[in-house]
Amino acid sequence: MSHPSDETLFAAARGDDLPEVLAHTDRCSACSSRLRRLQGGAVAMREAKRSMPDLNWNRLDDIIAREAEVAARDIRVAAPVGRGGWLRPLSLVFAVGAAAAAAVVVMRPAPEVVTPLAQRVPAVSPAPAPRRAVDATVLLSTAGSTLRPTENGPSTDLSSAIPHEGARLETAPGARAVLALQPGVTLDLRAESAASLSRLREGESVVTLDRGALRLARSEGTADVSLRAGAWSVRAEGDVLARRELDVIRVVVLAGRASVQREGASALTFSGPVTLELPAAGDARRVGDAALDEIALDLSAFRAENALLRVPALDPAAVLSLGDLTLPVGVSTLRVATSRPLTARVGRVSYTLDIGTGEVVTWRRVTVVAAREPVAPRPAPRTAPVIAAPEPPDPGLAPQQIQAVARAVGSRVRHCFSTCVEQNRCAADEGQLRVNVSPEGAATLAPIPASLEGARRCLEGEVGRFRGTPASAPYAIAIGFNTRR
Amino acid sequence: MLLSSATSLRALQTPEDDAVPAYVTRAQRGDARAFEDIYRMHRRDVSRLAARLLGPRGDLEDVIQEVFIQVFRSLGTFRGDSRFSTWLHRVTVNVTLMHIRALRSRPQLGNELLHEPAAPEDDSPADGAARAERLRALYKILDTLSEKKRAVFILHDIEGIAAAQVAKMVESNVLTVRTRLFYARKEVYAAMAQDPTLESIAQELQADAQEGAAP
Repeated sequence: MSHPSDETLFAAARGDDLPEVLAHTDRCSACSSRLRRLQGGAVAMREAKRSMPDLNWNRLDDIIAREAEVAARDIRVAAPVGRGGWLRPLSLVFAVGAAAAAAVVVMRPAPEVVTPLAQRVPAVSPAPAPRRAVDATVLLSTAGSTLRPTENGPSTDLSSAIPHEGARLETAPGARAVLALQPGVTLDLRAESAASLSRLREGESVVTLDRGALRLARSEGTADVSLRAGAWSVRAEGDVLARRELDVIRVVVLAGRASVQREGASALTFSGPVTLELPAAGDARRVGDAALDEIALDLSAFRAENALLRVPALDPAAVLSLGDLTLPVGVSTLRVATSRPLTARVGRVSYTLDIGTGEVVTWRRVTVVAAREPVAPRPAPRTAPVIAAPEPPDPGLAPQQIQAVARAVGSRVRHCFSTCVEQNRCAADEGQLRVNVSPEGAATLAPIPASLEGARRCLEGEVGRFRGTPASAPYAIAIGFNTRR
Repeated sequence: MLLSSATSLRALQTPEDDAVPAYVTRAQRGDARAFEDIYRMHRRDVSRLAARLLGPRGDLEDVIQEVFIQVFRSLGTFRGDSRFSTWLHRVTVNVTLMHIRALRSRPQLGNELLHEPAAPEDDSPADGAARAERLRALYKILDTLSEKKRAVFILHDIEGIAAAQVAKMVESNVLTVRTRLFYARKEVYAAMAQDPTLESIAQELQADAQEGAAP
């Protein structure tokens, strides 16, 4: 038996029944050593699976509990609000009779600043559907990379580059370039690569890969494209990727048939998806029946960078940047031929466009610059009691005494209003809350408006526990409220 | 403490009775206790997953905290297209990988373990130290992999998650996961076969086993 592969030895190391492997390792000291090391590795993997971290759960519990409160409050705060926002103090109540006006004013707490977004984009999210259609602005950018015929050095304007025979194209580190060779035929040159256009005729294009990697994309029914690398020539029906390594050209045929020919030899035909190795010397070799090349593994990113991307919707005021280029406002479609990230800024929050696998395109939040605005402390409410006009018979209380009763009731029920408003349980309304006080001082709530039903239980509870100033006759107080937003 | 008294204990659904547990729906409506339920029901899973991906280095508690903060903030975007646990695990993987990227760009802390694996009760201190050493050796090899290969190798070959589930967690497809796994295994086994540290581990374990077996 020849020396077993690492994979085979690992199978033996983890206990698979492979007597021939063990017999070999008994005879071969090098393989025996490898086997022992792989056994150590297998043990380490088993232990890694069983290991559980020892954590300070108490500390985590406290932190998460606080975050839970914040998150829950954010949801409640972000409930639909009217145009005017929430800062609407309750109004002053009317004055009745000759007494001074009284009021119970409940100030709502200042809401936290909510970053306005067309749609909230979390760190991880499914690809959002565009919210609106805009005229597409197509931008082709190389992020400063340069492309031009070598004799003149690199140019910056790829979109106007007219490919011609004999042109040699080079890309700098970190940059790529996309070029339409003919209608329906696109050359996508990866970073640090070079290619020559040997022939650009109607019906056929020939591209020679001199260095690095490229992709040739070809629509059905368009002109043939031949890829040349070293002594090899590849003519493919569909898209093909190629990478030139030291002494081999690695070709991935994504779909359709490809004809591969070495100078002076017969052509061989393969059907994609297939990965081929074309050595400097020797015959073409099929590596596998699937596209197993690393380039193909990142195909979706490769493709996405070469494709028209629908930019997920953001606030119209978002400023988009591609590297250090600022893009036009309202761009919704990009053709990107660069590895530079696309970033957006909405207010003080930054995002980067994540071109993930499977062409899922999302905005990923990268910087939270906006600090949470501290919730403004609730200002002390201004209260002044309503002095109801004395109803016959006269309860015999001085206006100041009635004022005090109203103030006391007002301070008790204030939280009922603020809670009801915060939790959206009270309808927008304004009016009076009437409280009857018996001669013994027992307070009862008069029928309340329907808009305050959400606060009924709280109001009844607070009023029911209140003891007013005893008087010679029953009296009533009225407290004004305004829950309009 | 999240549970301040026995009277506040509530019967909770097991995590995946429904694809969208009731506590998730309640949390999406602003119920603070429901957020806490999400944390309590899933914190073990999240911590184990993050620990596996993170390895011995890196502040696991920070990562767990960040995962749940992200979950809380983005809960509104969960539409029930997948099981909640799948979505949560995806967030965990993403947050942990971001943390690893950040770690790689910072100076390393040397060989200090920032979180010690909890040792079995019958472990001696020497056993614990040896286990920690093996874990370090393994993750030193895993750290040489690219991020994507490392993630699928850990999730599938160490944690034992099925390829289809791994694909959802890393937002890819099964073919790509299997392909990355193929290359990851090649690299890992090749590195293991070259690592003399692992040979001494195997020899120690063999010696321990023989000692134990000796009459």
